[in-house]
Amino acid sequence: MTPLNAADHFTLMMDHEVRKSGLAGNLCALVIELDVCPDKDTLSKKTRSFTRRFPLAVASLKKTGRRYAWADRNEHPNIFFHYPYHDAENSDTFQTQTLKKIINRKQALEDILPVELHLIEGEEKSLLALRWFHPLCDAKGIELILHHILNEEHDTKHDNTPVGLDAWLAKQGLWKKIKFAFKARNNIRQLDQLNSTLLNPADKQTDTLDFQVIRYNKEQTANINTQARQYAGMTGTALYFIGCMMRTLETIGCDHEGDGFCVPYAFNLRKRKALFPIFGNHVSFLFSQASRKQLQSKQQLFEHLKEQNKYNIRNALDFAMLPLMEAGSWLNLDRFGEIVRKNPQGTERSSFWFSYTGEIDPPMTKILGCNVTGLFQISPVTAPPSFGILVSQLNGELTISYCFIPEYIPEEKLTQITKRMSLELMDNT
Amino acid sequence: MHDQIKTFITQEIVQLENPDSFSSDDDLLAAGLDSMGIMRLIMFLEKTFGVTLPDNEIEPDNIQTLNRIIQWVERHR
Repeated sequence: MTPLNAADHFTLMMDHEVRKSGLAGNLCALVIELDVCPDKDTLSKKTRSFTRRFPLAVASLKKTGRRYAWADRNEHPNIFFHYPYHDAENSDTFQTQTLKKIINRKQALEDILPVELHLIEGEEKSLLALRWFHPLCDAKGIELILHHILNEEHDTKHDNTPVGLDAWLAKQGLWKKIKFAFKARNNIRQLDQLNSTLLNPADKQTDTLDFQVIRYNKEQTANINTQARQYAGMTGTALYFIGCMMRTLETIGCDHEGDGFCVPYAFNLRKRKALFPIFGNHVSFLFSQASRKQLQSKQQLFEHLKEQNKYNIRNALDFAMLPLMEAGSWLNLDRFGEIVRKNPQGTERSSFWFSYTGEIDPPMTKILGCNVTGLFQISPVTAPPSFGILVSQLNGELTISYCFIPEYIPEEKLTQITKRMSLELMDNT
Repeated sequence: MHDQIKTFITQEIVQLENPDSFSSDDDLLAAGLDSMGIMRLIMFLEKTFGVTLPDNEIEPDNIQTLNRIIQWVERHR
């Protein structure tokens, strides 16, 4: 049995919350677009080799006492799936519908394969989709998994030495952890003084996650990156996307108007360029929050968000969240979810979900001789907020994947959001 | 305050062989007060006595005995 770390438990709690919202669970996908279809037999062989080297990739989640762990399966399942394209269908529709089926397939917790590789053929491009169950790894981890599937590197560095998040927690003394946990809690209490604005209060039955990908060419991406540097500074790219989306939602109007916007965002605890650890979530998280008044001036908004971020880092609030997650991992999933998601008034704390992964690392231009022409991600959301954005970049071209629950965010509203967001990003309002 | 905190500690946090003999200067950490217990205790103190206890004051000196806990809470009322 391989125990889940504190952040893995956090994502498992989110799986529970996503399921309560009617969706399939905390199933994410990294989707790579290729100019032609790679050889499926080679991919199948590479995938089998990967799961032999890394048996955790086919483990099954089991409850042990109050916590969860990965358990070996008796059989060795196939994790590679191939979807041939037939000329009679519209290629884009076929690929999108197939992806939607993959991320909306409902399964019992113990039946879910931690990683699946799906090859979806098409007329002009093929999609390689790595679907992963979030308690297994974070967004960085799935990039590393893709690297290890394709490169068949030997696992030479896995021993019992704690790494990433586990190493940090193991180094802290009891009193420091408790101090940190309360520091984090006090920060969240402070945030809870503002009620969060939500696109939709979410009161219908639902069972489907949908997504839409908006792509920006090199010129547009360069423009957006310049604006990000001007408004949010050299290290504030993620803040730029968060702030622009806050302003977008404020402009188009939300059904549940609160006092401001509050957005959680994760950050990577691995050493830069590290190829290990592959498995486990090695992230902590912080919140960006702005009042509706602060949103009126773009300049002032980003001065505020930068200052908030500086304060959070200076006070180690990023690391302070880890002991809080560790304490939460001993609670039952329902209770943990309620504490994480809701403010004391019982309102959802997150105005939308957000992820920024930047350029894929290690860099990737070809897969099995095929050119990589695009990349995007898919993530589930809870209802509310029923809406999330995932920002990625490949070879200087930005993609924003809008993930949403269509019952709450109708097509017309989504179009308004994506158009306004583009204007905000390019400072063209 | 004394009785409320004592009852909470002896009934909810630390399993004592003989709760009646528990004194206000007994070492709670030696008696088995662990990290989860400390967190629950602080949350109880804040909720029951309407105080916010600063995270930089969460130290053995303020939590080791019932008397010290009372003094700590009193300083923030």
